[in-house]
Amino acid sequence: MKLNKLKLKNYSCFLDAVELNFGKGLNIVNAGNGYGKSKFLDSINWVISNQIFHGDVWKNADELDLYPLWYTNPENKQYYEEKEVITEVTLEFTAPDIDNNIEKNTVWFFTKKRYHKREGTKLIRNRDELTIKYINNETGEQVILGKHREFDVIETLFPKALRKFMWFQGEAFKEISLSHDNKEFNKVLDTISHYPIYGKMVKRASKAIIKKENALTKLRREQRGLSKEQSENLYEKDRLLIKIPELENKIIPDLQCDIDDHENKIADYEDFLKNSVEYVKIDREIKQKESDIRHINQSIEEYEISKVNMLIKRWAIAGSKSHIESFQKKIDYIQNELNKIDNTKIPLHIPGPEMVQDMIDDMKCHICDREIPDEDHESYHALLKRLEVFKEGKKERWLRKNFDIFKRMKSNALSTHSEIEESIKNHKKKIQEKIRKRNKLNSEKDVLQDKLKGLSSSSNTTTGENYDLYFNKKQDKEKNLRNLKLRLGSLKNNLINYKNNLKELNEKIRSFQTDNNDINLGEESLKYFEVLVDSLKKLELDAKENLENEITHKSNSLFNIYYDNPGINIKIKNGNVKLFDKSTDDEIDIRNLNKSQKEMIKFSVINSLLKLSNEKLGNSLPLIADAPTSSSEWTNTKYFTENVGDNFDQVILFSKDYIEQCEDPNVKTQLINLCLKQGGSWHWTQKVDKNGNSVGRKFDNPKSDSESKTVITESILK
Amino acid sequence: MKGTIFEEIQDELSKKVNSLVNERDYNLNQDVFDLASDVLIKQIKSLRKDNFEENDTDINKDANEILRTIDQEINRLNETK
Repeated sequence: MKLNKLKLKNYSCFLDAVELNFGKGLNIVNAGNGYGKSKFLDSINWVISNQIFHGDVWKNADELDLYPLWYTNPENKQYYEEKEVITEVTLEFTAPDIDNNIEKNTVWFFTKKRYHKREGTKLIRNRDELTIKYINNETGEQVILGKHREFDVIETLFPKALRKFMWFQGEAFKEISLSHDNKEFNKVLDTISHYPIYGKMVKRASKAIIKKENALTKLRREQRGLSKEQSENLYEKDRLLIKIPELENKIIPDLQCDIDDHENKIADYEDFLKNSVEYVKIDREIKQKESDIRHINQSIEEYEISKVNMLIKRWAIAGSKSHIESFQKKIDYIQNELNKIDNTKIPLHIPGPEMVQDMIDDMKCHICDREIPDEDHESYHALLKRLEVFKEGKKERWLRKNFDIFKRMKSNALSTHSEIEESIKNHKKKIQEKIRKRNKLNSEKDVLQDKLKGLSSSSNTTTGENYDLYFNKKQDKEKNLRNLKLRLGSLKNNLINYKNNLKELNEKIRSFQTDNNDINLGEESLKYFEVLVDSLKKLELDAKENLENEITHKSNSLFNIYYDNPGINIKIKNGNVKLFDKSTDDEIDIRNLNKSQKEMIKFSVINSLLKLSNEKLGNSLPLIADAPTSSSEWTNTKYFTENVGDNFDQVILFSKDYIEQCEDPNVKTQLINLCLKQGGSWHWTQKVDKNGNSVGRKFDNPKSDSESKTVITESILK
Repeated sequence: MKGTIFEEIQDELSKKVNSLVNERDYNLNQDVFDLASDVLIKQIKSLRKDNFEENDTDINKDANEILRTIDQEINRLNETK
C-alpha cells in the first residue's frame, strides 16, 4: 500500500491548498517546530478515524477546531469577511481493491470536508462530510462507496490495531510500554499472528465434530431400539461433547486470561509498592521525628515560661530586701516591747474590760452595788488600773501575733529565695538537655530527608496515603485471584471428570452399537475431524510463541542497525517487552535507560511488528511518523534514516531533525539522494506572512498562526 | 494482499496432521486433510472482507460445508478402493 498524495486546504496552518506527493521508499518532509509538522499526521487521522492525538491523549476531532486562525485576524480582510469556510483534506492511496478483487490494487480517494459558518470573529463547525471513492479497474470509472460500508472498508484497509503503530507521533509515543500492561501491543500480535486464524478454524472443525456426532447418534438410535439406560448414555455423551469443548475452548481460557490480568495487575502494584515501601517508611519516620521535636519544643517553652516566672520572683524578692530588713526591725521592736511587759500576770477573770469601763462610767461597783465616792477614791484607781491591765494584755497579744507574722514572712522570703535559685538552675539544665535532644532529632531528620530526596528522584514513589490505597487494591486483587484460581482448579477437575466419563460412555456405547456402512463412514469421518481439530489446537498454541520469537529476533536485528552499540537484548515474552544486558544476561531496569535508547527500542519492536504484519497479512501499510527521532542524537537519527526504508514499501517522516544538518549542502544532497534512490520524495516547508515573506525556518522567529501560514517551498519526487 | 499467511498455515497444518496421524497410527488419507484445509482457508479468507467478524450462523454454515465436502471425499475414496 502507498500514500500517493496528501492535499490540505484551510486545515490549521495550511491556508492555501498544499499538496504533498509521495513515492515508494523513503519520503522526508522537513518542518521546524510550529510549522504544522504534526498537523500533516493529524489530518490523516482526522480523515481515517476522526480521532486526533491532542494534548497527550486521543480526542474526538469534533471537539477540536481545525480551521486556520488566519480567518480570525481582521487584518486579513478578504478572509475575515468569508461567511463560510471549508476545511478539506484528501488522501490518495494505492491499496487493495477489496470491493472487487482483493488480490489486486486500485486507487482510493478519501476526502473529508468540514463546513464552518462565521459567528462574529469565530468560525463554528457546522458539519463534517467524508467521501470514499475508488477506481474500478475494469471500467476505469470512479465508484463512490456507500456510507454503510465506510467503517468496514477503513478497518479492513487500515486495521486499527496496526494503524496506531504505523502512524504515530514521536513525542506522544505511548502505545507501547516497556513494562507491564501492553494491551495495544497484544492487539497487534492478535492482528498479525496466525493463532486467531487457527482459533477460527478450530471453531468450525469442532462444530463439524459435534454435528457429525449428533448425526451418528441419531443414526444409531434409528437402527435399533435402545434401552432407557443406553439412550441416557447417548444423551449424556451428547451433553459432554458440548460441555467439554465449551470448558476447554472458552470458559477455562477466559478464566485463565482473567487470572493473567489479575497477576499482571498485582505485579504492577507490587512493583509500585516495592518502590514506595522504603519511601513511606522514611516518610513516616520523619513525621515521627517531627512530632517528637514538636513535643520537645513545647516542653522547652513550658520550662522557659516557668523559668521566667521564677526569675521574676527572684527579682521581686531581691527588690524586697528593704522589706525584710523592715520586718527584722519590727521583730526586734516587738521583742523589745514584749520584754518590757511585766510578766507578773494579773488574773484576767471577770469582770471583763467592758464591765470595768461600765463601773467607771457609772461610778458604781456592779458586783457589790456600792457607789464610788469620787475619782480619788482607791476603788476608782483600782478600776483604772484594772482597765490598764486589760489594755496591756491586748497589746501583748497584738505584739505576739505580729511577732509571729513578721518572723514567718521573713523566713518565707528567705527560704523562697533559695528554692528559686535551685529551681532556676534545674530548669536551665533541663532546657539544655531538651535542646541537645532536639538538635539530635533534627540532624536525624535531615539525614532521613536527604534519603527521601534521593528516593524520589530515582524511583516511582508515592505518599503514605496512596501507598495504603494501592496496598488495599493489591489485597483485593489477591483475594479475587485466590477465588479465581479455586474456580479454575474446580473447572479443571470437572473437565478431567467429564473426559473420563466420556471415555467410559464411549466404551459402553461401543458395546451396544451395531456396525454398518453409514456408521463406519461416520466414524471414519470423525477420526479425520479429531485429528484436524487436535492439530489446529496445537498450532494455535504454538503460533503466539513462534510469533514472539520472530519479533524478538527481528527487533534485535533492527535495534543493532538503528542504535550505535546497543548492548541490550530485546525479548518478547507473554505479550510483554523485556530487556536484558547483552554481556551479563541480567534483566535491565528500564529506568536506567536514556530517552533515545527507549525510543529506539520501541522503534525496533514496532518496526519488527510492522515488517511481520506486512509479511503475514500481505498488507503493507505505509509507515508515517511525526518527529520519530526527536530525542535521538544525529548519529542515531542518521542510522535510523538510512535503514528504516529497508523494511517497508513506503516510509514518510515528518521531521525537524534534518533542518540543522542540511546547513551543510553535502548532507542535504546525501539525504535527498537517499530518498530518491528508494523511489521516495523530499519536501521542505516554510512559514510566510501575508506578504509572502518568510518568517524564518526556526521556531526562534515565530509568528502567530493568525499572521502566518505554512507553504511548501521545495518538493522533489523521483 | 498476497495471502502468504494462509500458505504458511496450510503448510504448518499439513505437517502437524501428518505427525499426529503417525503418532496415533491411524490409517487416514492425507488428501482428505489437504481438502479440509483448503475449505477452511477459503472460509477464513472470505471472512477477511468483513474484517474477520463472524457470527454463529457463519460458523454453522461453514461447519456444514466442511462436513459435506469431507464425507463426499471419504465416500469417493472408499468407492475407488
